Amino acid sequence: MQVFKAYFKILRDSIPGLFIYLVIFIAISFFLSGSGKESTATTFTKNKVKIAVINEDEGGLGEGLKSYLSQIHTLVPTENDKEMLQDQLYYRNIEYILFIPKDFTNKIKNNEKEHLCENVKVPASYTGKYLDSQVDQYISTLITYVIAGIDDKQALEYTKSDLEKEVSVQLLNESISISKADDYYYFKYLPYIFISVVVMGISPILMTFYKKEINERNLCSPMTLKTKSIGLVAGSIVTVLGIFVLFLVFAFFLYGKNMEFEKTILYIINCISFLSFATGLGYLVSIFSSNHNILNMITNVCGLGMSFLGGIFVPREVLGEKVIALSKFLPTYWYVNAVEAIQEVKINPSIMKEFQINIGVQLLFAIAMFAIALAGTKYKSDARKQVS
Amino acid sequence: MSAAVIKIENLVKRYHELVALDHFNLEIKEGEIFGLLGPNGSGKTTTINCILALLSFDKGNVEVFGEEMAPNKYHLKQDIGIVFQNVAVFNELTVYENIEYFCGLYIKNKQTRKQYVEEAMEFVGLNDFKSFYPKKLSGGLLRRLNIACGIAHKPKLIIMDEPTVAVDPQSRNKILEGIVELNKKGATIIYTSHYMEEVEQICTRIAIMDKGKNLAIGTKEELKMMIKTGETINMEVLEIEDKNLEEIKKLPHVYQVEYKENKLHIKCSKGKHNLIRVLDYMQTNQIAFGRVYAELPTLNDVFLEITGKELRD
Ligand SMILES: Nc1ncnc2c1ncn2[C@@H]1O[C@H](COP(=O)(O)OP(=O)(O)OP(=O)(O)O)[C@@H](O)[C@H]1O
Ligand SMILES: [Mg+2]
Repeated sequence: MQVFKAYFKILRDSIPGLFIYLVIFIAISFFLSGSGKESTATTFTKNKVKIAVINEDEGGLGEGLKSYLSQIHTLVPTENDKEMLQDQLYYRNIEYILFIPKDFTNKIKNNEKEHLCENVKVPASYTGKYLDSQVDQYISTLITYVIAGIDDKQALEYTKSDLEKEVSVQLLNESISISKADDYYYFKYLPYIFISVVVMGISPILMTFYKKEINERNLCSPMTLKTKSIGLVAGSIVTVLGIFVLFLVFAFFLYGKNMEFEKTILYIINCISFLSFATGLGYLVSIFSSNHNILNMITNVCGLGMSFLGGIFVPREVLGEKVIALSKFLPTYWYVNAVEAIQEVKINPSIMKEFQINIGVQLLFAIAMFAIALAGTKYKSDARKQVS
Repeated sequence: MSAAVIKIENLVKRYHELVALDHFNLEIKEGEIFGLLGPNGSGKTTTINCILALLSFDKGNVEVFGEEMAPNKYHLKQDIGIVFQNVAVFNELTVYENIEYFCGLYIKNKQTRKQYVEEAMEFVGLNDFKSFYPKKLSGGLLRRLNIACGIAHKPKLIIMDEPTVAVDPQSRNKILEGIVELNKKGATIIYTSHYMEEVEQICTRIAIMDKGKNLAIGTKEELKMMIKTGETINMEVLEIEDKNLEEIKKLPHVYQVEYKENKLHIKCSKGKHNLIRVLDYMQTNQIAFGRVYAELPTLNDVFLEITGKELRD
């Protein structure tokens, strides 16, 4: 009880720092969700994606596909220059590039369904999947008519009118997920703040208790090691839960209206998994940093580094393959994955499995942190024993 | 005979090559203020850490309250109060909170605890600094806080490791008075220091240690009896010839004569009329002298004689 009480008295020192982080975070999430909102608002109303279609088809069907897509989306006129296209994609002037090959019409007439077109898209983006499915749908509808012996022009007409009905339905459905709600941004940025705030709320207190004088003084008292550990663990759990509840209340306050029950539960699970990791990190950091400057440095490096590499501040597509491969070794990557999955869970229930994997990996990271921390304490006390 | 509160037998503690405690023996009885006197690095803190089971040692055994001490002897720790040489307080807690925390490790009852904390604050005179943080306290006040944290729970045995380092004489006197008072209230006290005056002033029994060995033990009178020096005669002499110095040295009981900076120091072993004999000699040889005073041996003399070096450099 003494240790538990002392925990929160020592925590008082960190409160101004915690408060600053809170303000920064809210500012960031406001700012970023605000700018995100603008772009989603346009996609939401028109649901248009900027695309380029390079049509080399020698028959007429390719042109049909192109004109169909141009009706739904914004067709950006481009030349077939690979480098230029890459640039356009990078700067998001184009989000999707479709190549219709020379033998497109021929293949359709031969009922070849595989690899009719090629495309380049923003990796792992929703718009990419969205267009893929539109193109696939168009082609499979078209093939049905063409195989049935209907002439090209007629087949294109039929296909178009068939799809128009469906598209309107589809748009309604998918618009839910294509627009990223504000809560998406809020929860996506949380790990950054969680790392900083949790480390700040745990490590300084543990460091105080690890200090040689304080530690020895406690060892001289009738307080058992177990009592002390329980006090510290309980203190950190309550702190982390407090932080969690604070941010959750905040989320409800800001976005409560738009948050459905299922989504909320999944967000909570995801947050708790990440917080477990952050708590483990807090323990680990407290063992290996000897003073508050080092602690702050580690916190910043971990918080910012993991957030950037894990795709929290920067969309993952911009990061390049090598970085993404590397970022798989960071729990933030899996956290963001889970947040993305949560966005789609309504239209794509099978994504739950992916969500679970992401949670699992985060928990593994947490376990690893605690294991290393435990080994670290052992090592540290062994080292002391050797000298003493 | 009162019971032994602490009994150390043949304690050996090594830090790699360095032997910090070398077959160290010590017995401290109930009701004593026991002084552990030794220069820097002599092993005082090491001894205390062994008593508290903070350190493992290579040989020997340590008993506290008649029981072998071990890290898990919490019932023994319950009755021990400790004031470390290095101040052990939480910088993040106020004076009151610090005392409350440490007292609370021993005293579970809230009411009693509150009372004890108040008393401890009163005792060290920190009432006016109740809500100060340690960083805002002067060195002396910080030491007092350190003491309050160690004694608030009214332990039967109080161990103080140089509690007055860097404390001004006034605060120091207050602390020393406090220690005597605690002792009167029934606490057994172990007090380490390398200030012999302090130890002389308050301790009922003293052990002199150096290089991990217990060199002498006894009351201050007993310790002074152990050595050759009965008194040191000091006199201001402007001029004196070497021949005279030699002759003075041959006087009965005189065993050492030193002349430097116009001062003559004559060490005599125990015996009567030493001063008169010296004064006689000076007069018959017509050596002019100024102020004369005789000093009884101090613990420093004891230490000097036993170890051949000064206690303080
Ligand atoms: N952790 C340690 N590792 C190695 N040597 C140590 C360690 N602690 C103490 N020593 C050595 O053991 C010897 C005894 O040290 P100790 O601290 O007991 O002396 P002390 O009498 O308390 O001195 P002081 O008056 O300076 O406090 C010293 O030579 C010291 O250098
Ligand atoms: Mg010492």
